[in-house]
Amino acid sequence: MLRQTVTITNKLGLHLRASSKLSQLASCFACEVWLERNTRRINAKSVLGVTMLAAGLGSEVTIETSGEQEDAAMQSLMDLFHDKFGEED
Amino acid sequence: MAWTLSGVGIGDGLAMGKAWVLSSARLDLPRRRLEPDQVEPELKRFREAVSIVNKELSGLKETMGQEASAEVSALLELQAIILRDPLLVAATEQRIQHDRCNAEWGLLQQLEAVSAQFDEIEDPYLRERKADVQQIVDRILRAMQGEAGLDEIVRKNNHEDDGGWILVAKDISPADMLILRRHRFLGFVTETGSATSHTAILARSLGLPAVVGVSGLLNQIAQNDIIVLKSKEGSVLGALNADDQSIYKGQQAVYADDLKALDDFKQLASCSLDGVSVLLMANIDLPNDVQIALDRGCDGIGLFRSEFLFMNRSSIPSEEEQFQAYSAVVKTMAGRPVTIRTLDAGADKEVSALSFGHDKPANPALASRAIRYSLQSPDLFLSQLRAMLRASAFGQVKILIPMVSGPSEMISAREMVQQAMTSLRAKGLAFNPKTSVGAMIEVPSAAIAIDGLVAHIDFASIGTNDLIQYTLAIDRTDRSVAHLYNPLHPAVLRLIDQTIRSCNRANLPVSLCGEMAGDTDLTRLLLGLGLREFSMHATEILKVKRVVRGSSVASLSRGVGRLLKLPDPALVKSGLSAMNAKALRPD
Repeated sequence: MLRQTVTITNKLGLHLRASSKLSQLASCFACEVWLERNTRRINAKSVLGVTMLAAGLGSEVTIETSGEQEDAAMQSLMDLFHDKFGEED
Repeated sequence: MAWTLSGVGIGDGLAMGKAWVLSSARLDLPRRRLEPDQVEPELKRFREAVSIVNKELSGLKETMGQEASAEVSALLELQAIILRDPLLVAATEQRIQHDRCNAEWGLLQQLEAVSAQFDEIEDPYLRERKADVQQIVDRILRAMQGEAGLDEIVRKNNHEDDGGWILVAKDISPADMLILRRHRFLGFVTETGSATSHTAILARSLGLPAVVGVSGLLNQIAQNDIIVLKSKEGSVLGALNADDQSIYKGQQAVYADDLKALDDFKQLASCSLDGVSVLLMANIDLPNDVQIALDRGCDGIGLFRSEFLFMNRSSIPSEEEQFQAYSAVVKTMAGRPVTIRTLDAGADKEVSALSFGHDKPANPALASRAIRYSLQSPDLFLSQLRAMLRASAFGQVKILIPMVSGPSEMISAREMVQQAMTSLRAKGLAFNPKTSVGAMIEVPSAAIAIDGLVAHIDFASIGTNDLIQYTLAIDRTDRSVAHLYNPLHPAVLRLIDQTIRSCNRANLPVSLCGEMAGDTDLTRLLLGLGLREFSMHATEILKVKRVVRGSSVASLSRGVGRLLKLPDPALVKSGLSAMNAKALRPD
């Protein structure tokens, strides 16, 4: 199991477009992917779950991957966060 | 007996037609307990329903072609993603297995669990996405009940085109909305929904008249009832007699012709026959209203009512959330002025997240509201001012203070603006330090003693709705006195006249943003009084522009001077009618 915390740096935060990108990416991997913010823990493969985190610019989110391909999943998700979900500026 | 229901109107339209009532799939679903050997077949039934809906959605996307905007197809895509979501599908399957309940019940329980979590979200846009989940659930339920899709129902029944249909439903999904358009419904009305719901957003983009959030709707209307939709007023009328029906039929035809003719005015300047330029601005409630305002060729936003960001929610919007909303409008307006009014809560606009004290005031219109409330709640006021100032970094923002009664409130409000600027500087956040701060002139004392106020404001905006109410001591919402509410009362006209004159002398921009600004019967009167900036509902802009372009301001000034001396509203009215009639027949 891997855990890593990341700060959201894209302007809109985990708004709908970012949420669906994230959940679609998470769904590509066989392992379980969880996201935590404050006391809430959700399945990252669910766009509804990610939306419910309502994580805005500057908030901290912890990613947890566990199972087959957990390394690759963690790396891809971190890249997506660092890439600001492909949003401009 | 004729009846009227009200809700939130979308767009500017009038439609009369037969009600097509779409029943809600969510009503009266029983819970059934499953025997162990029934679980597998139930899961299969559920998965089949999901796959039917999946096909419906992808089928719609394919046949849509050029018909739908990018916005609509994005929403359809979103619904398809929700349909695959484990929180909806896998979680329901688990409920069926663990609780051994029927699929409908399991799905509804899951919907409730998801909805409860959405209700806690602060961001109103994200919170509204709950409706998308509900719509998907409705589709799955209909599929499980073997009910034909809307498309099929409509095709079967809607072949005779006798005056058209108005769709009546609890809620309408974006997918249903597309079908609605393909079958040429005249408009629609729903029981749920708010100005920010997807239903409302889509109605705007499709240009259909609609009224949403009409409570009691489904109890009042039966299939095939003749109903009338007035989307500008947000009202739905029914049980009309033959005379009324023929009147509305006439209005509907006139309205359709007029709408076509008005389009020609979009590209023309708002300039009178004798070369006087007039600014025509839009009043908006929500950031989304900007598109329609721009589409009607507005010169800017004359009134952005910020209180709508505070309504229908349990928490106060944060500075960040407000900043996002304000800056979105400012960016879209690309340099054109955007006048944002600070919170005008209280009286008829209740905000549940704010406490106005334990006792309901005996007279809310005269109690702690607007600037009075803001000055008593400095934290709330400062966060709003900071959000507005931050938006000023992206364009031209003007801050408008409501319910100012005299200089002291303006002095206090400006001190707060300075404080907000100081804290933004400390945080290194950008804003325009020269942002104008102005006053709504809507309390008679402000209009009467306007000479003393001009030194403390950068601009004035006459709010005629309240000015009339306070001057004539008429509560517009009280039916027993509403008929006495009259914009043409000489006292009201003299206050407006005096305000415009004082502002002109002091070289201050002055606009008028009440209902009067959008009433074409009053356009010539206001031009004659010297008004050069009108702010109104976007749907009125082109109508007012048409009157401005057909008027000669110099001759109006002389005529209006005579009207101001008349002793009572009835005489003003007949004088004005004569003036309007004369303007239509230039000699």
